[in-house]
Amino acid sequence: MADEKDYHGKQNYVMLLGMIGLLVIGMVVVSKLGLSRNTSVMLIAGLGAVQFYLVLANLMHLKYEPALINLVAYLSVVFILLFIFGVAPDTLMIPLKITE
Amino acid sequence: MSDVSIERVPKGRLGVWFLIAGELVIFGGFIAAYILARLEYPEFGSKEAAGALNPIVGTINTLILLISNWTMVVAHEAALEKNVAKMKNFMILTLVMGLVFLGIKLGYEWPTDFHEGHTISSAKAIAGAEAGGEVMKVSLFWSYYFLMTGFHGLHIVVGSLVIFFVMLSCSGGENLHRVELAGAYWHLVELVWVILFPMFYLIK
Repeated sequence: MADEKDYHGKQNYVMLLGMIGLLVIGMVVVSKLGLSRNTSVMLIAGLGAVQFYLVLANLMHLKYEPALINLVAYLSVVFILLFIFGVAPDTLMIPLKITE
Repeated sequence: MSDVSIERVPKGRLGVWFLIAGELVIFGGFIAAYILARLEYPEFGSKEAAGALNPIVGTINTLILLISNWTMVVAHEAALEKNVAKMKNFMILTLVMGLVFLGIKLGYEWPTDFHEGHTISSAKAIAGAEAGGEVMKVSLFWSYYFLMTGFHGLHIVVGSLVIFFVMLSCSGGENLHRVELAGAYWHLVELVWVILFPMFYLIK
């Protein structure tokens, strides 16, 4: 068994959570700027992705885990992206007619 | 990445990570379905739907969840220092924050939405009354919203129970490594909310 000390570096959690908080505020500000829809979506998604990484790697300590656990975690994200891009062509080419 | 070999990873830690990966795929399926629906009908989240949610309340809830993550981190650090009293205090604070989050969601946001006629299945009633495709699309937003925030809320309840029972089991200063595992699950709740919050409250 690995010892707990094998895993933990010393992190500045206050700074990390402050950064995530600022990113949250940043997303809200971007949504209120009145930018074009595409720009707004891309900026918000980008800020969200950074937060996602910060939480996963630092708060959840993924960066201290062995390669196989990193693989399992990131593979789940890859599966989601595969699902989106795999299904998108079908759903976007065939219009849904829910009310008919 | 750590240079600890996978064979040396404690089973509990390994199990929690597989659970987290599974949860990510489940939430990911919901999120993917929502994104595809939005791509199909970019207008279904606009004005009538997403505009009805209050981003200020959503932001407050996001920050509350973020603070609860900080209190959980402090509890974990206290566990590493074997400071059981501090650990318990911060775990209790985490529980309180989780309850505040749920209180705002279930006690204010959802009742407000219900009062305005939005429910998880409001699509049928509205479509029956007006029989318009556009109305149906708008109400799809609420189906996704209630399903996904409800599922997320359920995870907060489960996470709170986990923290509570881990706190009890660690009260004697034993098995303190469990605090980190409970924390990892709690951070998963934050991880998912980081995606749900902009998706429902900000992107219109």
